[in-house]
Amino acid sequence: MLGGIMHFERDRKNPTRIYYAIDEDECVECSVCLRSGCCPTEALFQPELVWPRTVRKNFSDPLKIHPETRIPGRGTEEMKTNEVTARYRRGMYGMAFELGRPGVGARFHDVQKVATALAALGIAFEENNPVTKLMADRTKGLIKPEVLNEKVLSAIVEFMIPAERLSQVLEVLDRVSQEIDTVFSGDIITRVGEDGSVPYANEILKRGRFLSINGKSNVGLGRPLAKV
Amino acid sequence: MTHTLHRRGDRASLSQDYIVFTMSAKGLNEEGSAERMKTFLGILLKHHPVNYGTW
Repeated sequence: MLGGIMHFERDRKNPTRIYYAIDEDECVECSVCLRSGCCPTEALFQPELVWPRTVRKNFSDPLKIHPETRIPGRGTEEMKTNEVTARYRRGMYGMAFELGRPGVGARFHDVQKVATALAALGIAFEENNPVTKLMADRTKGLIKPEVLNEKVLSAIVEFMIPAERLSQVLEVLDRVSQEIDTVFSGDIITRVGEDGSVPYANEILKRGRFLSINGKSNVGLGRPLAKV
Repeated sequence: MTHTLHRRGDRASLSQDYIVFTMSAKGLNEEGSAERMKTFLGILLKHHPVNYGTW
């Protein structure tokens, strides 16, 4: 639902007054409304969150340090620290499937659809990813049942594959993307060739996808450099 | 992608749009990274960023 977390209600005691009410089932606890100071009467407040609703804030508030990853929001270090961690090496592709975006969001039952489809291929999920931490069974891609209906701004299913499995994985992601009720983007990470070439580009373009202008490059300034 | 959500336009119009960020590797070079982060932000300021210091 796009932009659908608020609706008007009429004051019962004074019907000439109307006010906004927040649909807590749709709210992802990003706290943007609080920080923006958009309420002229300062009526907005942060209710105390308890499990499993705490998941919403951990994934959706960009200023909340995730307790598992110690990184703000839903992300991980992925390639941002690769010169130090050497997590991604030549011949391997780091991949991620991002469900939801600001104003749209995603529920974990959709996240589970993606995870189970990948698990059926024998994919190993990224250990330091907050979605992986919510899995009850990583071999099957099953999320803890109490979390399934929680809605977050965005969640990322993250994993790594040998380069030769790319076509197979894209096939599965194309299929499962038709079964989820939100927007998505696919991420792919690799070391570029010695000549700067991007080894996966042809495979992506061949499937009718495009390479976004939102890409990241690690320029290798971190120290100490990983021993590879 | 979160850092680039402001982007609207084509490649040509965004050719001078850069997001630069730094992050410590947890468990590897995290210790003492606060001071290095300050240095990084100091370097950034010399180049007149449109915005800085946010996640």
